[in-house]
Amino acid sequence: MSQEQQYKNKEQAATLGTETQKNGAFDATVASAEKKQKNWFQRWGNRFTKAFDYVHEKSVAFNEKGFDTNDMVRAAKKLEDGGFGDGTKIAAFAEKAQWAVNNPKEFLNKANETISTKLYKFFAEGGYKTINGIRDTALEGAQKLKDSRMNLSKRVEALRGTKNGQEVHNATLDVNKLAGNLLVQGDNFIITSMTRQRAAEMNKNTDMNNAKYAYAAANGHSSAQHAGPKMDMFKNFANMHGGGHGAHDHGGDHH
Amino acid sequence: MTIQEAKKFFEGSEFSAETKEKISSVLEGKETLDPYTVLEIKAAMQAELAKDFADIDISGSEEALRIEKTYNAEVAQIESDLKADMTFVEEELKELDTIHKDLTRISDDIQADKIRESI
Repeated sequence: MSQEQQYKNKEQAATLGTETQKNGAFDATVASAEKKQKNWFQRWGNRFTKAFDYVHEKSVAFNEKGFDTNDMVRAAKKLEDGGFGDGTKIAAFAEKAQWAVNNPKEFLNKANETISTKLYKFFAEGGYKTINGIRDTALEGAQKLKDSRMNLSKRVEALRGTKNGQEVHNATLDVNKLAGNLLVQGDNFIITSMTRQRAAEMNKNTDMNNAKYAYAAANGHSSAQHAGPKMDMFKNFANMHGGGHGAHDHGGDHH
Repeated sequence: MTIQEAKKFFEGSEFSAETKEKISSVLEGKETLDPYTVLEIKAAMQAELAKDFADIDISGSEEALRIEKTYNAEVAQIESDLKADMTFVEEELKELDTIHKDLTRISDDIQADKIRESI
């Protein structure tokens, strides 16, 4: 069949399909495909924008006040009320965030245990993990998603010409699932960035205290004598728990 | 270090009652000295030390400038990384959009075939 004939057949089918759609039989017409495609990207694009705004808001709160589970709950509630459209993950997130506030003692232990609380894990780990380590973890997650997307692309390529609607449907579900995971990955990146900023700030504070202590000691300032034992304690404690100063970034990248 | 050991570690320390109280509340109910708790404890100690050195002014000194420069460079790197990370997410979403469009076309072809067969 010539390309022109194929096109004519498609157009004819599309016209018929549109007519059938009016009767409520099905909606998979060429004519409606354009609209569906646009809606799909708009939906995910919109969710991404909202996700970005949401984590930015958390980031501002985090930088101003430090870690606060109530901030998470407020942000999650906001999302639940008008956030990511049909994002059931967000509703679950809000529920879990509320649980975290009600059960602060169990919160951190649980956060390290389950994948569904990955977001909390990133928060909980913030500031203690070395600067490079936390982003490396996020980059590993991103690479896995990219691999999944490339595999999915090959799978869809192999589906061209298929008559198996179920396989196409399953692949579509996987595309949506992957898009959802990408949004979570976006959150992880932002939270990672927040924790790295927090770690950098703490490193700066430590360096500044050290410098002031050295200056005070060299100039016979009374604060050196007063703060000396506390400085030693801080150093001892920091050395026992991941060092007194975070490591510097490896400068990892997406491949 | 266990929670008990941590409590003991700070009990006899030179830190103020206020800082000890803060550290004690951070440790309250914890089973293990998790990383976030370590962060909070370090932050509490840092805050008191910063107060102790409040009247030490080293701004403008070479060391202070070096610290600021290091910090600014780290923050710039972090922001640059985040930009790359966000670009990655956006590009992956666009790639997914392309895959989705392909799937929609394949699905439409299947439906079109069904219609042709039924005509």
